[in-house]
Amino acid sequence: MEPAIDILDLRVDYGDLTAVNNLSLTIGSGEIYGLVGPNGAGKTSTLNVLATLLVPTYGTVRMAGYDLEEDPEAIRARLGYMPDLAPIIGNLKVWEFLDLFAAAHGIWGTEKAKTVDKCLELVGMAEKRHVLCGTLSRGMTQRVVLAKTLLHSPGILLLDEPASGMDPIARIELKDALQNVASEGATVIVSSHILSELSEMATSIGILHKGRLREHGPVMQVLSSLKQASSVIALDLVGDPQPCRQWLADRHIKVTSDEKHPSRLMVELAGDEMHQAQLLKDIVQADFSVHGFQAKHSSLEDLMRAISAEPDEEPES
Amino acid sequence: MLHKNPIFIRFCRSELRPKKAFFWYLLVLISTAFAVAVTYAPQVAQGREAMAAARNALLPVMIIQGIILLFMGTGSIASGITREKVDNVLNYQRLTPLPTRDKIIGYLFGLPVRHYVMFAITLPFLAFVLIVGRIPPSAFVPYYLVFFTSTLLYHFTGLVAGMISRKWRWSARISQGLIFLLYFVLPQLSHIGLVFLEFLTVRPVFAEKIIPVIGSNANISIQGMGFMAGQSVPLFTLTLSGTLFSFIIQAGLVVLFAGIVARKWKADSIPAISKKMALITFAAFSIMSLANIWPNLTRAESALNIFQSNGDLGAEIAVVLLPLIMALVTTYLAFVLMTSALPDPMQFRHGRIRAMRLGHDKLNLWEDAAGGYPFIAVLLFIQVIFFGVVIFTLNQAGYYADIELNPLQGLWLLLGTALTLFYFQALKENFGTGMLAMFVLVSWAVPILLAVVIFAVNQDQWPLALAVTGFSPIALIPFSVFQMAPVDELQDNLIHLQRALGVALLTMTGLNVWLHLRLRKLRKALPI
Repeated sequence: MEPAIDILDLRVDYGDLTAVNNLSLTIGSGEIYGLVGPNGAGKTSTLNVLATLLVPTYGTVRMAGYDLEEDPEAIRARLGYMPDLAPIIGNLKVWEFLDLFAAAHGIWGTEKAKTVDKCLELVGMAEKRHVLCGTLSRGMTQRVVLAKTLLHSPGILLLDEPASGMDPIARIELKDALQNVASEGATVIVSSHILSELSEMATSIGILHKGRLREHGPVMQVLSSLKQASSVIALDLVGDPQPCRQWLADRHIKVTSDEKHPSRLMVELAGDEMHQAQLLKDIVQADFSVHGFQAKHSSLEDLMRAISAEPDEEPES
Repeated sequence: MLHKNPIFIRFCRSELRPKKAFFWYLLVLISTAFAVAVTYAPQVAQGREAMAAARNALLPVMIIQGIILLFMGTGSIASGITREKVDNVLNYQRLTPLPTRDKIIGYLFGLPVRHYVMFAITLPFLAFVLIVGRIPPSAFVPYYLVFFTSTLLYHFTGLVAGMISRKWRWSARISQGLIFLLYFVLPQLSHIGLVFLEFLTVRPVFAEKIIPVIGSNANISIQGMGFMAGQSVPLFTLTLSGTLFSFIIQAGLVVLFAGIVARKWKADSIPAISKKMALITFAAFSIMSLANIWPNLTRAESALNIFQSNGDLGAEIAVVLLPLIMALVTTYLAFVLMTSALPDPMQFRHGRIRAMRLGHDKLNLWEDAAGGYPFIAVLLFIQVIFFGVVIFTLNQAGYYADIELNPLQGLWLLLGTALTLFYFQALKENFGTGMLAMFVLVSWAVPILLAVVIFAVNQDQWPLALAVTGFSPIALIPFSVFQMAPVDELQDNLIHLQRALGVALLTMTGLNVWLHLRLRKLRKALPI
């Protein structure tokens, strides 16, 4: 079965700035894919290309079985796109705004009214249907735009920072709505720099940094591989920790103190559980008295911070 | 079907809400009622015939209608479409499967929908004036047909301005500038023979059809406004009715603008006009200019209003003036088309990288991102034919024989035009549109302003001022044309003109060499 989205060697340049650099990615049907990265990572540029709004410098993109360059119209008909800072037409009422786009997608008559009502209910905005869009709060605007995006039951949903401005309850509703849509076979790409919200709703994530895809795959797999790549161990010693600190430093292992616990050292270790076990064995064999050895769980934010701190790769020629 | 167009329906909902629109309806109602009453009632009260009084009231109604649809409507389209673009709503519309044609029609008629209603409010007053004034349909039907095609043209102008500008403020300025250009500047060129530019407005049909039927008081004020008298249009050896010609010329522009808007709908980042579309526009404009000025070239008559009182232009003036007008007008049109159709450095770079990734050695010649050498070559070829016809026809009409001048002097003009076109192309492709404006200001304007200062300080220094003018790239064409002037006429001035031409030629050759070498280097060093 053909993947819902297949990106090969995508590159986007703005003048001398390369926003997306050789991005290759495959996303299957029914997945909720989280695109994570700090500001300027290339998330919005990637989504704009997928939304057929930005012509890439090069690269091949196939969506829903259609080539983006050859058949953008076919892709547009199957696409729902919600940009960052979602715009809204302030002088239209909420139902008029949805009515406009339902009609533009070829939905007419009673079906149009039913679809508008259904989408408004899905995002919890049915009560506001007669309110002018310009008077809505940021979070409500996001919900109306999400309803608009769902009008034509798109097979692929592209959501750029959809939860920004939403309150916690609206976020939960958003998550439920997206999982609902995905369960019906739609593919969803959600971008965010609020990582915790993505880890809860996404089935897979990709971490973009300076235009490059640093890690990607199922959420647990990415987290696990990042933890393997680098983990922080709290090492509790009996007595003065300084000799052990020196011993570790001599072995080029990065180590810091913990101000709250004078006898604790925080050890940064590259490698998986086997490496951690070997380190513990070596420390004990070196005659240091250890009474605690615990690998700290890194949050997605920590991992992102670590990735952001990595030196840039040489640009490809 | 307009009533089923979702974008049109949207604007009907948002723009016609009574709370928002009522003020404007009331304003139009009051001002039109006042204008008609203040023109009609006093005359009737003074015992003047009702028909004549009503006819006098036609002009204020038409002015109000023009303000509503031509000016306010165009402004609302330009600013409205830019706001949609800046707010990103246009991207939403791009993504819907609605055909591009429906999107354009929806915005074209939807954005000014309130102005159409305001126009409709004036119709009862118009009906009163037409009925009481017994104005024949043969007068007002052609006028309103041209009025509506003009409205369409101006609204398309607003749509184009909105689509090509990135900032709301700029779109309003560009559309105002375009309207000023279309309505006030370009029609002035009719005085130098390019009468077709007058027909972009309702003025000729107004002069042809309305002036004869409205009252004498109004007639005086119209004459004061300097309207062109109703006349037929010279088209090579034919003459066409002004009304018919207005339709043709406005329809041509509407097609061009529709093409630009459709391109911008598909992708915002591409040049506003394709190279092929630019060449067709250039060729059409050149043919139309030639057709209009033909009676002058063949000595059939002098259609140049500024010299009309003298009858025949006279060989001394004709051999310089006619080629100069043609060269300047077509070259400046070429500048506009080059600015719109040629890629800036980044567009070229992206196109090249893309082509190479697709395994092509170079870009397709006519692709949007491709360099402009073939485009300029064809443009120049059209110019060569055009100048060739002008000079050949002047020669056939005996102008050169009269003053014993070799028509081959016209080659100077070709050289000057070629250098100017290639210079402009290299400027655009080296630096893009933003820097182009700065170059135009610095290298084009400064030498001329300096020359003006030199001349103002000491008028005896005019040869120096002339030479300084030669440093401005736009001076080359006029100086080249003066090489076609009879030597006897110029007498001692010839040497100074030749010196100025020398300066201009050296400047332009130097600039061309520098710019084209720089462009070549830039493209060789292109990172892939």
